[in-house]
Amino acid sequence: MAATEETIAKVDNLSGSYKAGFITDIESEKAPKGLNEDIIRFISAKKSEPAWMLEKRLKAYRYWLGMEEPKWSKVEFPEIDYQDAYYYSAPKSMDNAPDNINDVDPKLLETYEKLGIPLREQEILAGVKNRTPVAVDAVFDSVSVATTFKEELKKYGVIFCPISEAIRDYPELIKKYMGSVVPYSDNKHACLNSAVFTDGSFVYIPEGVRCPMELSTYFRINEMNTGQFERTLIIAEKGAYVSYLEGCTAPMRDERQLHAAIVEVIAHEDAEVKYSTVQNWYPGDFNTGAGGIYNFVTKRGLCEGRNSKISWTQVETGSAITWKYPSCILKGDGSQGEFYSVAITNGCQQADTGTKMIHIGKNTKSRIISKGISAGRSENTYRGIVKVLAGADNAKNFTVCDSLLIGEECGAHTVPYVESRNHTATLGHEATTSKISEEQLFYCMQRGISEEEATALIVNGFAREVLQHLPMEFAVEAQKLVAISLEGSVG
Amino acid sequence: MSLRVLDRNALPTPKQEQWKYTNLQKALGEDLLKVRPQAPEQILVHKLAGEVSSEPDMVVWKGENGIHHQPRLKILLEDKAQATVIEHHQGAGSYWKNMGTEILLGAGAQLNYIRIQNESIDAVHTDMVHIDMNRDARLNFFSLNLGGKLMRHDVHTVINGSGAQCQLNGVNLLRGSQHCDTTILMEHVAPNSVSRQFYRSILDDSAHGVFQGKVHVHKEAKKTDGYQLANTILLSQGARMNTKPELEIYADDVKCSHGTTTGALDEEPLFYLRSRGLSEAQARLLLIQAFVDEVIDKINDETQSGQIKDLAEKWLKTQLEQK
Repeated sequence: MAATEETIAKVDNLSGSYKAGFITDIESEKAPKGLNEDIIRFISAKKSEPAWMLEKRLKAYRYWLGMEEPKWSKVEFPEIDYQDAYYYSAPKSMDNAPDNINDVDPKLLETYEKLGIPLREQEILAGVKNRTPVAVDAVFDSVSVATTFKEELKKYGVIFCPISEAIRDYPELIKKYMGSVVPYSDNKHACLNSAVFTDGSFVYIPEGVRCPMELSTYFRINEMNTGQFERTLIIAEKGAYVSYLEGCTAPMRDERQLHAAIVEVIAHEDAEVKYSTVQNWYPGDFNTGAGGIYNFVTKRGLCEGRNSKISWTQVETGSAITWKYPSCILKGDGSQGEFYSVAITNGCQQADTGTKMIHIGKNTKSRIISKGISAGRSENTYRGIVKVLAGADNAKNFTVCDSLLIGEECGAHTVPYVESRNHTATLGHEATTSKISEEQLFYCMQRGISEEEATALIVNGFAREVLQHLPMEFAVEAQKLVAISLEGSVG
Repeated sequence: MSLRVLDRNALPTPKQEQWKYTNLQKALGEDLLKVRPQAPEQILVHKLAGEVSSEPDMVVWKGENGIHHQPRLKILLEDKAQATVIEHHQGAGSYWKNMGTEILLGAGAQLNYIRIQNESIDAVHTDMVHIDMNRDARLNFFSLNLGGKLMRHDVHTVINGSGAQCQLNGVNLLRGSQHCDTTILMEHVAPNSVSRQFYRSILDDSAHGVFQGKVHVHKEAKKTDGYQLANTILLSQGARMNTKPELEIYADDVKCSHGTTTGALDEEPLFYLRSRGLSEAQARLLLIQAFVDEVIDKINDETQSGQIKDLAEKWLKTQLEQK
């Protein structure tokens, strides 16, 4: 009972749907509108990048010009006018890159506080009391505003900083790893990102270190007509462990905004990386579908060494369109990949998401648990591939993808590809699609639980298997989101 | 009706279905001249309303070296008619058999359709089956793919009447460098219908199997119950299987699911059988036979299922003895 009441209370508390839809009134510095080589030079200069980085960007841009948009997904949207957007926008006050948190524009800090993310270390510590705090890199439009606990982490040899800083300070690591998992030629969205990426986080965990706290990045789009192009790179050396979380929100605007990100994860021998996402971009207007974020993201992890492990957990509730396939390349023998996903679509949202598990090494294992919930007039597609190459002896995969339909006008689709070229591999896939069963509802209601409560209870139960893989603090957050996202769809 | 349209042409038009081989001139160009096209042969199985045939209708399609065959089979069962159709494909040499099958089931009609494809090993076999089911119609379709170098079997079912039940079952036994592609589109247009797909494949040597099954539930098709199951056993390192079971669902009150597995034989049952004194080869044969027989048992007719089991056993013995 307690859980249901909690969910209902949360929904009541937070009713008024999208809570993060406010706009921060702040003066910004923007690159001129449009996209050309000068804009790329402008971004590179703004970030004081070395020449080799600019070269990389320009190379990607020139390749991008000749690329086709991926059309195979089950989402529909009008042609994107790439010239009708700003590719760089930063609060003016960030121009001199304040070193001390006290020099950061209070308006910015306020924004994050409003979103529930204090950036002053004392406040964070005060807030969590006896628990381990979470280190945060806060990205606002195209710049990182602040990164907390950087010094603390340095004591362990852990590098956690904005990617633009890493390009300047750790060029060898960047040269070696950036683009090694997602090459710039991968797909059109990733290629655009390789040309115009602005900020994001860089994480390096040295050999044998278990990162003492959770790391996280919070992405906020604020300025109108800007695209956000973040780039995240996580490297875990031999035997290292890190748990990383990203969150994201944007104001409610009538124009569509593009968010094209790349996340690369590299896990060496015996290393483990746990990557969690709570995606809550503005989904657009509930009834008309106007506005909202196009979330076109390329996320890929490389299990490079023996017995390494990468685990993706995602809760996708926002965005007008989600196009995202966090993947694992299981190259090292005995490596493991995991994918846990809850994707909720409501209103006019469209989601086409899933994963790719590529088994290359021997004795590799992968596990996919995907839960899709569609309500309103939304379309929700699971699309994934499990591929076993000839050398992947004894590879194992287990996939479950379940879909839940709420309402008569939504669609739920499942498109799994299973390709095996090794006779010792064992692959299993199962999927179901159904609505909340009358019997389950009836059972709850005859016990005195209202229909709305019962629906919340059943949906939370449906998604539990995935939510329990989120770090504790975020699991609570995610449950709230699940309830809010479904608002207006019950009854 | 669609049958009349088909009467005029030897093959369905591209507009009718996702059939890619209709416009041969365009598809093949010069290559078409290499095979000698043969005038379309047509067989019509027609049962009047209420007619219940006690004997199965046998259809045999032969293949001849160097010929491009264009056989056409039409099965038309009027309301409440019942029939069993058994189709055999055989031949010698290298040829292309481009088959078109049209099945139309009236209200309450019941059809058992067994298709045994044992073409010459150098043959190309393409078969497009279009099925149209009306209210309370029942179809039990079994397909065995044994022969041929390159096979493509497209099945497009449209369930237009509520209460209809459609079962598509199949066994693919492939070896050498055979390639077999089974593509199914199951469209639920009317409410309260049931569909089942159950396919099992055994792949040896460097054979390549493909299974693509899609259940498409239209908005009006409430209470649809759809299930797909595709299991594959790979016997050798060179064999390949690509599976893509798809669900495309636009109605909320449905029960649809699918499952697929690809892999080798389980070690545990093998161990169990060997501990009882069976040789490794015997144990493997027994397990694979059981795996395949489960699908064959879906055939209502015991004489037929017995014969098919014998065929499968013969195939399995030859394959496993080589190892």
